Amino acid sequence: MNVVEVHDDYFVQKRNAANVLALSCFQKITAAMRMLTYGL
Amino acid sequence: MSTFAHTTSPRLFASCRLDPLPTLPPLALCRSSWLHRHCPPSSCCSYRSPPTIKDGQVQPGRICSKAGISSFYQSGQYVIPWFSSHRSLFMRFHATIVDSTIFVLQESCLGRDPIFEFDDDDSLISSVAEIIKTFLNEKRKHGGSIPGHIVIYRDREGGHDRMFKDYLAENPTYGPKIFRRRFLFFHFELICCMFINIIVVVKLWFCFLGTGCLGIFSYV
Repeated sequence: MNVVEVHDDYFVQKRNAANVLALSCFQKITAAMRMLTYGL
Repeated sequence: MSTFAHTTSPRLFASCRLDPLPTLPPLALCRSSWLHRHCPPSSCCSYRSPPTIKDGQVQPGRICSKAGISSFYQSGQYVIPWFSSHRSLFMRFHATIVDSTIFVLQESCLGRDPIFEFDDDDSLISSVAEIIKTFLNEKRKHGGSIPGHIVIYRDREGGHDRMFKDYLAENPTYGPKIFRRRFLFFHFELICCMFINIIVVVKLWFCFLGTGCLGIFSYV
């Protein structure tokens, strides 16, 4: 997961303007995998 | 101090020098041309994303606000950048707006400028309050945050914890056996194959983009 985070800034867990945490790296990678396998 | 209870993550100000003002009188907004002269609202007061913290330093963010405050003005953290000919300076404030009075609490100051010296803290604070006031009435490019909007709590952190517990933790809820039974084609070798396929396709695609050759389909 750290490799993916280093590769692309998108996968890093960030905070929004209201200082609320967004999705974690694990969740983002899982979503990407889902999209690649199921096609949606 | 205790009246200005605000949550700050400890990481955020780890490397900033903290010098909060001990007592804070309610401020009557006084007109101050000092800050405006050197840091006019047009240059420093456009809504932008909040300053990002990189390498423990406050990046040149603009004044930023917090969303979801029901009052007309918005309470929150503000960063005021200051660019002089010698150095740039970033001051972070926490503004609390109650009944059209702005309470400003200086939280940190990054950088030092010998030219930048105020007579006293009150003038600095009131200048900041003035800037925040003029800035708050500004119409924002993308509409900005709308007071009273519903904020859905989606429990994303909980989702991460559950997914981690289910698949990655020690003694996962769904171990490798169940995982394989559920996702029939997802044996380890197949996953490897899938990854290699993806890599190959992506590489070919970039080759295709780079050279403009049309022979991509012969490889796939």
